[in-house]
Amino acid sequence: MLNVASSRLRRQTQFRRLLAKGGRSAAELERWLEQAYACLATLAQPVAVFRPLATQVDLGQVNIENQVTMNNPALATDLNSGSSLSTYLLTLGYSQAKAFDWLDRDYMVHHVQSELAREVLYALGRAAHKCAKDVNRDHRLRRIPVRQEAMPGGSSLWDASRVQALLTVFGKDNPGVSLTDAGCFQPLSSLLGLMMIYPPKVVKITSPAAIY
Amino acid sequence: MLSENEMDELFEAICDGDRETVVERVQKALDLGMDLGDLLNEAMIPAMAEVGEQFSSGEIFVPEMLVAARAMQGGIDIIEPVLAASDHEPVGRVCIGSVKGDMHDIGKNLVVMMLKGAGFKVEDLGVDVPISEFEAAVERGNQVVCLSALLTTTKPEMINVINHLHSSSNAARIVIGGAVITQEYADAIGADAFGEDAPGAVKAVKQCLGMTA
Repeated sequence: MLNVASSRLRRQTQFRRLLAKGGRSAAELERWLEQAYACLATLAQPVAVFRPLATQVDLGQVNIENQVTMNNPALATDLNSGSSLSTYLLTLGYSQAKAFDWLDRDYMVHHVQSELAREVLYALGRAAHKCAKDVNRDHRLRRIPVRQEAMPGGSSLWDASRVQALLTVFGKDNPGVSLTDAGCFQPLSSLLGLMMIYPPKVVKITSPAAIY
Repeated sequence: MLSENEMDELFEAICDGDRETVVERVQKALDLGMDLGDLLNEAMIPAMAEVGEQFSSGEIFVPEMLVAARAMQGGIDIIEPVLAASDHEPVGRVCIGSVKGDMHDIGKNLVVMMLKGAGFKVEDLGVDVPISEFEAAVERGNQVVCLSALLTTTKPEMINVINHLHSSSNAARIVIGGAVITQEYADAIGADAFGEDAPGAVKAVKQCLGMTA
């Protein structure tokens, strides 16, 4: 995941441009990328947890584990049609404060580390999705982001108290992720979401020609 | 004294993120007995201001700004002990933190780097900072308080900090910024200034202190 994330980061326009320039400034950035890589290789303890959810549907409302209610008719319809809902929690398992200390309080390298951590978190998400796909081979999976009011520019679906309620369903399986009162994850490099698992489609073949 | 050409080279070396050249020129200036305050004010700080302008206008991106700040830091590391020994005062004293409930630090840290590059003494209070810590930082002599918030749910905390500090007898000015912050919001909640990005925060701090940007 670190190698994938590092490659992606280097391909981002802001990094690619400076690296392509060459010379001393590019060499400096290269050193920072290596230090950021070493920091994550040492501190990160990536974990992905999936948990099936018990749901109750009442008209267009979905009750999740008696903790959270979603007003989502489409979701309700899918659940009534045999789909199931799971929640997933991803984290890199270390704080930015710890990274800052590990990097000798170097602001520049810490910034690069933050960017790399974000890419690693996304890589963890992709890897976790692939695992879920392997377990649910014939099923279609759809991720439903738990988009908080807190995120700038995002449509609001969840507020901090509802995110906290969803987080509680992990119980002792929670890998150490918590929320501030304002809805900020601790550690910062964490993600919470829902996953809809659709049943396999039944395919009817009515014409022998279709078979042969 | 460094020659005009060498001053230009120092300026360009900071803009280009060439730390080795910055260190060479600054060390030479020190060895020649040049006034280091003049070196800062006439070449180095203007170079970082230029870097800030280039970033704000989209000519350069964050990594280029970072290497420039690092190059600047190379020079500052030589100058600072000498200036400190001579009772040289920094351009100003600023404290900065992400408000209570907000753990994000990436934007705040960029502001720290640019403020230092502009000659300010910066006290970084970190993230999730309660009002009491901002208050204590002002009592320690910080003239400007910079508040950062990345979330729509944490930006209201800025109102609490502003109301508390403004109701105190101290004269600290307050600059706010972050992804969810606008000039309109800053005006509405009584902040003294708004920084739309890291270089913008430096301008806002200078504005608060009555300095030319």
